[in-house]
Amino acid sequence: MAVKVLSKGEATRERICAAAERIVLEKGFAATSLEEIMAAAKVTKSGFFYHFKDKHDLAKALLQRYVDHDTQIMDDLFARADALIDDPLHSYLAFLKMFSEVMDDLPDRHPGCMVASYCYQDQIYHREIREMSAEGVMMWRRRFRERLDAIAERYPPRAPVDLDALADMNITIVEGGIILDKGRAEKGALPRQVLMLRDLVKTLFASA
Amino acid sequence: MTDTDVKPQSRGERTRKELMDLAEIAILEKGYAATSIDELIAQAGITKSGFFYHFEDKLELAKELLRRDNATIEAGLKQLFAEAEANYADPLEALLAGMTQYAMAAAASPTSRPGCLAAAFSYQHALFDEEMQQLVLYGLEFKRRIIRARLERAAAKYPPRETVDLDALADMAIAIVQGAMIMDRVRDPPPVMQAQMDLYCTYLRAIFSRRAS
Repeated sequence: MAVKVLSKGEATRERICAAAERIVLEKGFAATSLEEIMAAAKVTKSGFFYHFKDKHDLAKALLQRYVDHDTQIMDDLFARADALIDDPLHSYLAFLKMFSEVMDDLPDRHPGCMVASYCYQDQIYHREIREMSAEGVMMWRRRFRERLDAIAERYPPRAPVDLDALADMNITIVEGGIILDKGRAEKGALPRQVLMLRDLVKTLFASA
Repeated sequence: MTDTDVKPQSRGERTRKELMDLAEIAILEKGYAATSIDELIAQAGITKSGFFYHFEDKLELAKELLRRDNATIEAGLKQLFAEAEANYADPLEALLAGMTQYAMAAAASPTSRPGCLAAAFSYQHALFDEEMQQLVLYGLEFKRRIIRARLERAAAKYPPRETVDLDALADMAIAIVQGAMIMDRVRDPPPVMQAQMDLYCTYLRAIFSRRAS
């Protein structure tokens, strides 16, 4: 990953976002006060409001940051897989393996997805939040779908496969795996489920 | 899932049920923290002391909701698989028919979009206690147990070529349903739920297929 040097202002903004995300994923946006975010990020009130107009402005920034960050992780892993493997199917399988490993290597269980967090809270009633969330999942679908199209061309599946549904399963498995790990208060279901998806993809496309 | 309760209820029982129904919708729509006792009593047309007659506090109401939800879903899941097994003698066909019904039941909701109370609580877990965590955990456990039992029956008749982790395979159904609910809360229709389950069923069929590939 490219290391970007942040200016002091950018570093403060990033520190606020990181602290806010951690708290919001544990208790929800409505129950999170600006005061506790400022305390956790060690910024003053004026420091906070220099970066964010209000709480809603922060809500949008957290969502955009999460979608961008997640997309970056995927792009980096796909780039690594592509650099190693020429074949679209085997590159995809390598991507899923690496993605599972990254999830398994997290120090703790996955803290959660901002899109999912907001969709279960009243943030979803803000039009901009709803649109950003929907755009986020559709962008992820398109990214996976492009690769699946290339795979289906090289390895025509024996039975017709709904490629949008298969693209979406990358999203549903991760979201669902996070819920399983949150519910069990442990780490393990998410990386395991990504490997299940890998096996599903292999089963659909790989000729014996 | 539908309410099959037909026994006559006292006024107190009706009020209690109404409060729970209102709270369930409010929490599924906007989360626990944003749901207030004041709005619930206003909608139910009762006083605050009326609320506290039924529930110690908001937390106790939330736990009661999840207890009720767990009981409803556990009974519902068992029933839909029992119906599928009555319709299909073959354990694999019964499993697939039951899975399709599971997705349909999960997509049905008293709210405008599908949702799961346990998932909503999971994303606000720091507001709750150990007892709530146990209720969420119980929900995951009985779902896995019920699905796994059907996977075992299919595996007994159609032994998979390779070893399959049936717990992980059962969890996969739960994960896909939870993930599809999240996507369908975020995206406008058409919903993705059934197509996700269809794909999972395609996978099950491949795993348990007798045909050599």
